[in-house]
Amino acid sequence: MTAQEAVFRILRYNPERDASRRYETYRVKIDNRMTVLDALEDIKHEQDASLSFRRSCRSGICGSCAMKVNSLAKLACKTRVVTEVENHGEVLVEPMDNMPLIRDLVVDMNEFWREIDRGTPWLEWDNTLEGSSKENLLTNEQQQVSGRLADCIMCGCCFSDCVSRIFDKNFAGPASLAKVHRLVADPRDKVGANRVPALVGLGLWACTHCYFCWSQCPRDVRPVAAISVLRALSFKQGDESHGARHVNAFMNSIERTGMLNEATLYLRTMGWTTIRDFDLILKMAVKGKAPLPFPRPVPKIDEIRSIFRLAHEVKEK
Amino acid sequence: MIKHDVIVVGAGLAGLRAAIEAREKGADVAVLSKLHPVRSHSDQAQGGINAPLGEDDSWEKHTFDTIKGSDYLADQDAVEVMCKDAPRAIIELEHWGALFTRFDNGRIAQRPFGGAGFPRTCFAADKTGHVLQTTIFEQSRKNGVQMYEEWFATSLVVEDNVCKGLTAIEIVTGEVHAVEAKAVILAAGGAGQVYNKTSNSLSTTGDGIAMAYNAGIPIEDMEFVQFHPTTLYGSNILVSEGARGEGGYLVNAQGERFMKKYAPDKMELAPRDIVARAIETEITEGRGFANEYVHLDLRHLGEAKINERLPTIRELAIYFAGVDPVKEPIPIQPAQHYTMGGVPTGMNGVTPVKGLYAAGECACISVHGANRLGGNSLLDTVVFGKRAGAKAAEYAKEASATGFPEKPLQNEQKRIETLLNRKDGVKASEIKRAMGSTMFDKVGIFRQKRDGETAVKNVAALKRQIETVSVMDSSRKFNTSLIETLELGFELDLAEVIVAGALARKESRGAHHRTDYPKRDDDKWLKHTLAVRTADGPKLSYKPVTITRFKPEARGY
Repeated sequence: MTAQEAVFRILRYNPERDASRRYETYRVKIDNRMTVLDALEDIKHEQDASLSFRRSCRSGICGSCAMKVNSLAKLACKTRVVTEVENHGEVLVEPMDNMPLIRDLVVDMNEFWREIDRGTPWLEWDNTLEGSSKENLLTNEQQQVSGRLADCIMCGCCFSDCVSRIFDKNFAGPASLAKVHRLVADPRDKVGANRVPALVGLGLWACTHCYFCWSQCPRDVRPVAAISVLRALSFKQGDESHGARHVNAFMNSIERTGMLNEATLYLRTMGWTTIRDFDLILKMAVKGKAPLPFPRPVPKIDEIRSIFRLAHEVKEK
Repeated sequence: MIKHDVIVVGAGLAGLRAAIEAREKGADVAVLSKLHPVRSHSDQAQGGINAPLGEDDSWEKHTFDTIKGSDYLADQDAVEVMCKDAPRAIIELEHWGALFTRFDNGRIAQRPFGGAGFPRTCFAADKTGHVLQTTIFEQSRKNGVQMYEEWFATSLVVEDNVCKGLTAIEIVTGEVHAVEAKAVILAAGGAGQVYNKTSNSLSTTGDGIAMAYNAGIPIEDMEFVQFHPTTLYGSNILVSEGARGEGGYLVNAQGERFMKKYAPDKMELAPRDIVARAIETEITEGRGFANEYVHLDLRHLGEAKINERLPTIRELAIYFAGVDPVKEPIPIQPAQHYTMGGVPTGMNGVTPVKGLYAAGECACISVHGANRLGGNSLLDTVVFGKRAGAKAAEYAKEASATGFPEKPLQNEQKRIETLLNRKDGVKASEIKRAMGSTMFDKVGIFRQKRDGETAVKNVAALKRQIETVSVMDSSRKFNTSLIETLELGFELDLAEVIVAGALARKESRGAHHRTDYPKRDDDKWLKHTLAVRTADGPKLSYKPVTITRFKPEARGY
């Protein structure tokens, strides 16, 4: 492709000058290989020195240049301009979400780091190893799960685009839980599976499985998959939080009736605390929106139940 | 005023290792870094970290390889310390959680690297730096090391040869602070950005070395600049030596494995200075592609091995060069990679100034001499970071606070205020571009008198220009243009020292190659360069190399 021009629409905000956020448009000569970071550097050095953004390694490993490009969180250095132009006609560049804005494309990541810290994000090793002149013997297979999760560069893309985090500030977020799984999966970690009971407090069940953390991760860490594994572990350890009960109620409803009955789902998840929402339920019932908690099974329910029986048998094996 | 026993400048491997050690020794320690620690340049190391773990290997052999690799400029007592401590350092990192690639028997795997007689390089695929930096950052959190993230140190405060602390900008507010400390450890990395073609991050601007130089400390061996043989053509993103360690070939446009002409025994696994010169020679003599690059061919390794051992290289090549190494050779060219010189230190990080220590790439102990072996820099950071941390903590315990003078803070505030308020002037980016190309073209892989003299003139002119530089952004908060401008000042100071050292050294040794003096000259030049700042530019003097057990001999591979 020959040189052409791309339009960059960039969110600008300087707390010393601007009352509110605004957008500014720049035109940049681009080529096939140019990244969004290259273009931002070009704008800063040729057109507007006041444009602020973080950057360092320019090779996708330091995690500095995370920002929203055409509304999705990405590393600017790993995002090619031509692709964005082809898909969107222009390059809209904005700061990451779910974190306060400092200036232009720079957000305050303290909130993100506080959430990482909630997961006690370090390996607790055995002090008797100190002075030991031998390494732990481990196979590459034993390190495989931790290895993938340790690829995380803490760029914040998953946190920015996390849907659950918008509504639930107690949810520690995808990167934090991925880090916990990295440690739980490491045979050397002294705490290991004992890290799991604390996770309900970190919002283990808040994730809605939207998969943005998977799709937006520049290192293919797949935090949502980590969250699923941690949930299963928590379940095994006798988790009786609302989240775990919801999963149970879900299964139970299907096994018994072949369908999802919102009323039994709600009752079984919330238990006696359902009574707190009595007002709302009554209103819904009046409008015909609340199903009765006495569902009739679907025809041929036996077939569904036999699937469940088989699943239970396989699990026991 | 901010006050600590020990302040560490820089949060890469050396800085964090120093901080952990100082804290374990009971010091009140804080780390100040212009980046969040996980963004540090240590994170970008790929290929590995050396330690003589193998049964047939030994610290003596590692020491010899390192000294021969250094072209006999390394101080041999320091190299011995490093190689003796290497196994302990690796085991410590493993215990802390580092995910090293393993042999089938569960032990830490090792791969061959350039200039090494044994497969001695431990690694985590091709992301060793990331794995180690993450591990050591985790342990620093566990340890409760306090961090000043995104604080940019601007000057050291030294009075009567005693370090009292430093001044720094809190980037988020733009405020200039005095930071008082009984001991300061410089661990701020190398100066790769002085060159326009470099594998280093945009933040690797030599701040620590330049601050020491500006404080009147003579800095050592700055003309020894390592050029990595294999960086991606175009972006100069690093392609790990691990790629050759795993068996990759270097091939010119005639399809010839040309290393057989330059290093018939070691071939692609000769030390970096030799391989970089070989590639550059092939290109200048017309056997490269487009007069710019040669090929690194990994195809014969097969997809499975590439995916297991070199996944990052594959990803980077596909993404940044549009080439899948499984199917096509990678276009590569040499680029600046490592600063062998730096702040002169002893084996415990001690510098000529009381209370000032240095470790990592910004220090010059010297364990790398005229050419560093691949896999020795990560080792240097953790071995000497620990020692500097311990020594600084010990010193801080004994030393009494002598107070922080008012003048330096006021001076820095005034200097920065002036810079911010200058409306018209030269753009920092223009000066930087000119500096980068002068350095690469005139003081690069091959050097000679005439080019050196041109570089002296060019750099002097750029130093005059920066006196009238305009930041072009007068706001305080998160002013990245201000930081870039201050960094450029540091870079120019060091460029001047590199040029002076290179022009004066009339021999070829390791990475310093003079086409007009193509031989090593031990009679006249087996000595370290020291450059001290004066009003007329750097003034050079020399000091002897410490030689213990290995007499300098011819260096063939």
